Amino acid sequence: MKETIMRALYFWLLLIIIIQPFLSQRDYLLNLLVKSNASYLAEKAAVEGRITPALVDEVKANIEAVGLTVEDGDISGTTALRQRGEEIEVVIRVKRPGAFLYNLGTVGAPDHYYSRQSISSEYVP
Amino acid sequence: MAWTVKVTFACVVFLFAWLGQEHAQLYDTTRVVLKSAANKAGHDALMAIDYAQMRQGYIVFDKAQARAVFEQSLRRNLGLDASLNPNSKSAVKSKVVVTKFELLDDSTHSFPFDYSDSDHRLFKRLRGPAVVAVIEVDSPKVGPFEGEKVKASVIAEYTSHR
Repeated sequence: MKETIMRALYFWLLLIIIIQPFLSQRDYLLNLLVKSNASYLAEKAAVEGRITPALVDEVKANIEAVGLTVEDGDISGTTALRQRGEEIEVVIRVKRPGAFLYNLGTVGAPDHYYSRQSISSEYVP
Repeated sequence: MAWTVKVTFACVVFLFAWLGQEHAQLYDTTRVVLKSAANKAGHDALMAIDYAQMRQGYIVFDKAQARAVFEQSLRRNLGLDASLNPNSKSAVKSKVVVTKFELLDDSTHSFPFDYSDSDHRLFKRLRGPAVVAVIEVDSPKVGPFEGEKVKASVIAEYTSHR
C-alpha cells in the first residue's frame, strides 16, 4: 500500500522531469522570436524613418504564426517621421504562455515577452 | 530504500540537466541580444560622418562622434549607464566592454578593401567606408554552469560607395 502511494506521488515528479525541458525550450524560442522581430522591425523602420502600419502588420503576422496573440498596442514605437540621425524606438510586448508545469518558488515568471530596440533613422527627404 | 535512492539520483540528474539547459538558453539569448545591439550601434556610428568632406565626394568619419554615437546606441539598446555597466532591468548582467572599434574611410583606405583581423576572426571584402567593432560581456551564470565570455562583432559599411 505504502509503495503504491509513493509511486503515485513519484509519477508527478516523473511527469515534470519529462515535460519541463520541452516547456523551457519553447519559452526560450518564443522569447528569441519576439526579440528577433523587434530587431527586424527597428532595422526596417530606420529606412522608412518611422514604424509604418505595413511593417507592424508584417511583424504581427510573424509573431501570430507561431501561436502567440498580439493585441492592439502590443507593437508600438515611433510613428512620427524622424530625419536622418534621429532616434527611432520600437517596443514589442506580447503575452507569454506558461513556462513551468509547476511553480516551485514564490516568485512568478514574467507574464510578457518584452523587447525594446532603438536605432537611428536613415531617412533623407 | 533502493527506490528512494533511485528517485533521488534521477532528481539530481534532472536538476543538473535542467540547469545546463537553462544556462545554454540564457547564454544564447545574451548572444542574440548583444549581436542585435552591436548591429544597431554599428549602423548608428556609420552615420557620424564629416558632411563638409561628403560634399567633396568623400566619406570621412568624425571619429570622436562615431565612438560617442556607438556607445550611446549600446546604452539605449542594452540598458547601460555612462560606464557601460548594466542597470537593474538590463538584458546583460555584467559590464559591456568594447574590445575593438575601428573606422575605415576614404581618408585611410581605398575601396574595395579586403579587411582581415585574425585575432577576432573577422574577414570581409569592404565595398565602402566601414565601422568594425567587437563587444563582449561575461557569461551568464546558472548554478554551477558558466561559459566563455559572450562576444558579438559587427562590420557596418557603405555598400553602394562610388
